[in-house]
Amino acid sequence: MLTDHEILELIPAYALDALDEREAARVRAHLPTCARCRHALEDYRRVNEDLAQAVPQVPLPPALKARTLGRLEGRAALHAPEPKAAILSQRRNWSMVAAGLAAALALVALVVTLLLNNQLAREFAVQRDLTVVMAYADGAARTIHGTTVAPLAVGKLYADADSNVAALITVNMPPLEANETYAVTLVQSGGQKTSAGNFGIDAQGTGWVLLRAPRPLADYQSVTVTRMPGGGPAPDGGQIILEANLETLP
Amino acid sequence: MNQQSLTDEELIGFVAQNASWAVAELYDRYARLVYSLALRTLNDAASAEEVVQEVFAKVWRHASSFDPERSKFSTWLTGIARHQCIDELRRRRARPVTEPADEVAAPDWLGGDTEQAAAASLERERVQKALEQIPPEQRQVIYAAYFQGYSLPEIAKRTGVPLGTVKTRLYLGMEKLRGLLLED
Repeated sequence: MLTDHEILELIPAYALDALDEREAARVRAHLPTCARCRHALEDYRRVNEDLAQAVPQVPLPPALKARTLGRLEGRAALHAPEPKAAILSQRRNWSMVAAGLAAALALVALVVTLLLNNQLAREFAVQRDLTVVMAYADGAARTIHGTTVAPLAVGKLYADADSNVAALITVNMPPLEANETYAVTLVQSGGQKTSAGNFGIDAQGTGWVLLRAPRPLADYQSVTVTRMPGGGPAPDGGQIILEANLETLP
Repeated sequence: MNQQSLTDEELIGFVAQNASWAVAELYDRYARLVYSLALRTLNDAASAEEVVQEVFAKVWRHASSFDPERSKFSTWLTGIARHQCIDELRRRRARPVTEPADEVAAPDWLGGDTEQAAAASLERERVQKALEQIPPEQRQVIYAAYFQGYSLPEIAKRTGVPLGTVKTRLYLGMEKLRGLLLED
């Protein structure tokens, strides 16, 4: 039987996972009963952290971030029953997003009917148009991936190439400051930029917007979603979060 | 809300609420530390990259189990990273292939290289200085356990030093580091 002091002397080795299983089990059994040893363990873990800080820092491989974060997406999909993964998986489930939109549409319609509120009526019109565009695209969407700034951000563009109206739904967008908005810009092959719409996001980074362009979508070469201050639709500047070449999008 | 102004503990709270942007921000803050530690421990870039991926996968999966009352996020993360490295080292040793025996020796960055230490960050310099104040035989045991993943019985066997002496050296060395690093 080890004394409390003998156990205390084993705590640094326990923190380093350097005890054999028999002694580690003794320490584990002792810890819930001894605040002094728990405190010591936390201290030694902080020492371990400091030792890590002593290692010379080397540059990260450039592609590692995308691989690491991409793997999280894959794991989330694989672990659908877990609450976190289930929620992420739901975010990826575009048909459910569409169903949510439809539900929101019905709710807004009901409220509009009841309150005859002009602002809500305008919102209702947007939701209705989004649903119409998505339905017209027959559920087929083109995926717009996040840039290195936000590799987990994804956009789905619902549109018919001959139309000048499109629906964009985004998930995993980085949070915005109170005075910021996301601006969608369409770029023609000659470099001419057109602001196609602005939108905000909810706490989970989900947002949607109805895009209106002066020309059919087929006339544009690329689309960007940029984080802009103050809600300005300026097509230049800002941090690009989503970007895709419309000519090569499947 | 600007994610760069959030504390680590606030960010991990967002991760627990499924905010993937918060993991990306934590990656920006800590991936280099994790990768450097893994590379130093495993001496293999591919394995170090694997460790980084696995560590952040665990951060994502277990964010809700992090308790800011018990520890700092960086302490928690470093613990995950180190365990990942040690697990890999022990898996390697368990493989039935003949590999060159690891030397239980002080790493090249411990002591001596004062020029390198001067060029390093203040934090690194502070830890270096603390390490240099520990007797070499205690430092050697800490290194063997920390960076090479050896258990105390393994260290005793490899060095020929009695197990009781190894235990005492580790305890005294870590206790001295605790005093030097945490009671500034």
